[in-house]
Amino acid sequence: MEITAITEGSNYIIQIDGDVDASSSIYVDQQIRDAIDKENIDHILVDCDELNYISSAGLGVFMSYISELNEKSIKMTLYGLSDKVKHVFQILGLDNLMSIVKDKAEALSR
Amino acid sequence: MTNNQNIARLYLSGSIISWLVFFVITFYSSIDGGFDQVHASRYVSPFYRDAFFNLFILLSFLYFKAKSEAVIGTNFNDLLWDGFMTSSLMIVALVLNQQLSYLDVEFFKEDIFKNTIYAVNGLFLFVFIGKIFFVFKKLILYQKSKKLLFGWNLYEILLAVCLVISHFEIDHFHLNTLIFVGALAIYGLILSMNMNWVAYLNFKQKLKGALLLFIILFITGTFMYYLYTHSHLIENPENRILVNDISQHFFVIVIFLFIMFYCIASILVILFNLPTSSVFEQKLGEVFNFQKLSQSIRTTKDEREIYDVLLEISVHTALADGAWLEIADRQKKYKAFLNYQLEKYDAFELKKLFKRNNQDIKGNYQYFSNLSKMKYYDRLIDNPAKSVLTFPLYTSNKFIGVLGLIKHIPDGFNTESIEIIKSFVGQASVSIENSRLLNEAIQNERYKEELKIAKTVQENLLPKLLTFDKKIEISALSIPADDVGGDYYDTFDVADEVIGVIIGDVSGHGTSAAFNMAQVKGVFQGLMQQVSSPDEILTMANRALSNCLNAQSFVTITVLMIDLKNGLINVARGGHCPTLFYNSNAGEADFLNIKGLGLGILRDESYKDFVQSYTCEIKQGDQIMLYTDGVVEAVGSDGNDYGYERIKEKFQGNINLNSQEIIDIVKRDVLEFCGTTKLEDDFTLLCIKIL
Repeated sequence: MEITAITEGSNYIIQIDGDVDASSSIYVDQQIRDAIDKENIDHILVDCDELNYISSAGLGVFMSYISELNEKSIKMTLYGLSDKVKHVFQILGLDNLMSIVKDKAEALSR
Repeated sequence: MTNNQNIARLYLSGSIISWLVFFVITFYSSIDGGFDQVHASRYVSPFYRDAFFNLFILLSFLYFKAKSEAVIGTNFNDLLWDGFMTSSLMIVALVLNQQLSYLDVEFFKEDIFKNTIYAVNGLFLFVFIGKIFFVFKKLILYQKSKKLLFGWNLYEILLAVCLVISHFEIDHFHLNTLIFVGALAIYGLILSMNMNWVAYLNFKQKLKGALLLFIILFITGTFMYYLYTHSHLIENPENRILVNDISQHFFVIVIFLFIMFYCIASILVILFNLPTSSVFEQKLGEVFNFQKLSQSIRTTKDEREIYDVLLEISVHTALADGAWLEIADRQKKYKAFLNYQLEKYDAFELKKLFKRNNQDIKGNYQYFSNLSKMKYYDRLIDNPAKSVLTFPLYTSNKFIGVLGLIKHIPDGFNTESIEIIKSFVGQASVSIENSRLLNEAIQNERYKEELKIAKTVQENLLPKLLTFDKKIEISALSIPADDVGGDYYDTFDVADEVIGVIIGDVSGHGTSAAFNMAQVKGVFQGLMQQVSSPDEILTMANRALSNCLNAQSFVTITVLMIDLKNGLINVARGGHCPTLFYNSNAGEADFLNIKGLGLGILRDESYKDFVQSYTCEIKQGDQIMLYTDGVVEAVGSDGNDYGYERIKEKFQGNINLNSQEIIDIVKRDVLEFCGTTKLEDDFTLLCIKIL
């Protein structure tokens, strides 16, 4: 799994490429942590175009930040998810707690 | 050893008795005026006198031999000290004894008295030579070979022969006898060319030893002088009074020559070895250091101890003024840094210097004999190092660190140390690697044990027997993957003709998954008996589990209540895979689309807004299938998931079979789809048939 991050103004964009399993989920955790700790960030975008698969460990990482993001009024939006990956979020019910949209444009318009 | 002690005592008593007899005879022989008297009234044949004298010599030597053999363990200085004490005692005794004859007392001037004094002095003399002879024997035989031992035993036998000859050769000097005695003396001198013991003393001990030997030599000389001045061979009328003349005893001559020669030779050898003793000590020191390193390797589990020992002995061996040691861990990342009499900053500056000069200190050992000749040397500020030795630590081609030794002068190291330190470094590297492998193996074992325990716990949490009722048929199959995963299911006799069924996925790793499952089981076992509505059950379970699940863990559950009395089912879906329901009227199976959320995701009261209960009627012929994501997410040989469509097909297509058969068919289909006999994830299927 490869993970990269760039900042565009007050947006922190994380791009994930590959599979997020138990061992690689710690890097995702680190990125989100960095994003939250960075100054002047109010929107974390996660580009999931190249995200193949996400395990329960990966889901756990996202879900663990939900309350903190709400507290700090930081938005998190996932976009570009494949049907398969989106379905996983939906079954778990995470789509009601996190913003999942089609593409970056839609994400930025939030 | 008491046998030996008894023998020694025997010899001692024998020699004392012999001497006493000899003394008495001497006393009598000298009453009427000594040597020249042939026809004195109490004259006793010299033969008997000499016989007892020689017997005394023989038995006293045998006594000293037995005594010395009883003592084991060679402390050279102690030996010499022992010899020195005896010699001093004897010479003092002789001097004091001799003083008596100078006293201005009438009786003391008599011939008898002079003879008795001489005889007593003779006793002292023989104690001296007996003791010293066997002290030297021990020194000579320190590193004995078979040949040397044989040679020495032969010498002792020949000495005994010499003693016998001396007995019969008094006053008669045959040429053959002289040749024999001369040859024996030379043989003794040759044997005494064994002074290996000198090399094992350190400088101080050598000096002490030389001093003791010198004093012993002086005492020997004194005894010899005494014999000479009281000898018949010199023109002194005084000496004619003496009935016995030890100075002409061949045995005595041979022994004295031996003792004197060994003293002189040992002293010279010690003195000439003094300058080189530091080298020998150093070599011995290196051997001890090796032992020390091996010792620490065998007993330590902590790598740090190895670092400390390696640094210490390398500095000691190379006589370095300072040193540093850096170690990398298995991922080649910095792990430890030790330094001795050298600032960390200075060590890094040195490494930078070497790098700038394109010198690779990680590839092979390096000797920088003069730093000032290197480029960029002027950039070093106040660095004490003028010459540097570096050694890389390697194990099976893996670089694990560098040892650096510095000296405050250029050309400070000698190349001999390099070889020894290379072997220290090699030893230490191996043991560091071994220690790491050992720790890894132990950790792996521990981890494997943990997994085993967790697996056992989890297996025991799943039900052995499912609820039994004549109106319903329930079958289940759960195949855990190798890793400890977390599929969970259970059935409950909730009330009269009401059956509860739960299926879920407790994710996590190793022991934490097992603990989570135990908590889930506990929570639901309580709730299923108390609460009838599935969505309420989920809400309460979420509240309970929110406190005990760790931050990134969650649980997915489907709660199903089957009311057989009223023909109803009530379902709530806590983020779990949707339940498959076959409606016998419609003749179709479909997934129940129920809003839900996994447990442990929203850990406050808002959870209840995200779950709902779904109710529908059931009748005979209806069937329900519950499963976990290990079924639908099983990856096929073409890379696709098994998926929801396939399980629906298989379920629907085999609806007339009993629940166990349906489960088996689905399982076989999944395995065929994956093209394997073993599945990657936990696999659980429940099939419920309403009869």
